[in-house]
Amino acid sequence: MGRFLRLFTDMPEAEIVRLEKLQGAELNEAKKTLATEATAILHGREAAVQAAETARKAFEEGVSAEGLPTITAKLPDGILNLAVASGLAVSNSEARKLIANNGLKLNDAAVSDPRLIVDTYALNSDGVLKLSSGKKRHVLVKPA
Amino acid sequence: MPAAPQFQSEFLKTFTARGAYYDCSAPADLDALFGRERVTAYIGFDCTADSLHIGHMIQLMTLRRLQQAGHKPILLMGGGTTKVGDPSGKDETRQLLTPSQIEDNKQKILASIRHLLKFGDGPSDAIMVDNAEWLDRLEYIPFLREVGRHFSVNRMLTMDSVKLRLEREQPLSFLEFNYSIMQAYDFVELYKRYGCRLQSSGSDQWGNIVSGIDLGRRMENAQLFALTTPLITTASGAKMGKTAAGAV
Repeated sequence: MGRFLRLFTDMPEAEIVRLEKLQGAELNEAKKTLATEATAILHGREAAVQAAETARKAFEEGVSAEGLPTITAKLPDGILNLAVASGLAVSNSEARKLIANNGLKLNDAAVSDPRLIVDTYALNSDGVLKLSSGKKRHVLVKPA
Repeated sequence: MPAAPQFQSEFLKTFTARGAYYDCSAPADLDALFGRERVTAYIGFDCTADSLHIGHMIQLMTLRRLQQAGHKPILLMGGGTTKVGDPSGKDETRQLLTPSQIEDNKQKILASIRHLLKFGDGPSDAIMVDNAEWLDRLEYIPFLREVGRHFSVNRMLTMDSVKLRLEREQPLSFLEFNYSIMQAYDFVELYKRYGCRLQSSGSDQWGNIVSGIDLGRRMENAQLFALTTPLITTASGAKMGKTAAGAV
């Protein structure tokens, strides 16, 4: 952790020494600092703060957030089609496997039926669907 | 990895403290140079893709720290060398890109790093140079006579990029064989145009940089330097690739 903070940020040594001592859940704070500081060097401070906020919303609040990859799709549509269209699976059979492993989520709830038809009733309060593979990959689906 | 020497100059002390030091061609001389004057240094990127990855970021941070210490960074875009194609680490000939693809990649790379360095006309402002400026206009016979005569084919055949292809009986075109000569020539050209003394890169480019140092000594009687950074690995030490899993 300290190695990457030294290489990819301008943070002073004393602050890096403090961050690299963190353990467990606190370690996430160090990782977030690394992500934000490195992003600020590349994209500017404003963009980095915006990206950090998007990530926080998507990963910590579990709500759909502006700035996530977004596709449009015509609803109703089958869950397998949507998983492939969103890029979370490369094929219907991979999408099926993902569902069998409880790895595909629709609005943060695991999908159990590969024949599920998704219609506009599933849209959340922002008017979109959030499809996720595992904890980290999220795509928003907007109705066409 | 060689142990980092005890440097005195501000830049090399910072560079080492930030974990970026891997190797240097003449550490004591380079340290003295940094302590004495504003040093012009470069890194080169070919325009093979429209975005950069984490390995490039280390090189860009090197330029950034050079600038922060008051030295002058040159970002060399390989508009010319991309037309030749680096054979290093590739088992097959790279697909040839068209000039418009190369230009497009170059513009996208430049746009992606505009926050990282301050470009301009000031003494330690970064400048961007494209090696197509001189490589595109080379004349074959004069180039062979002035530059080609300093290269030993015997030695070139022992370079990793060439040796691996020969050992695996994979084709290596004469075009690609010229890549390391072009990179060596770039260093000398940047020395002549901008007084550039140092090339920094990842540790895998050591052979190509040393070729440039040799050429500078033979053609210009100049002492040029190499400074390399380690390959980025995961916390467990494995190479970090786009497809390899691993936590920071």
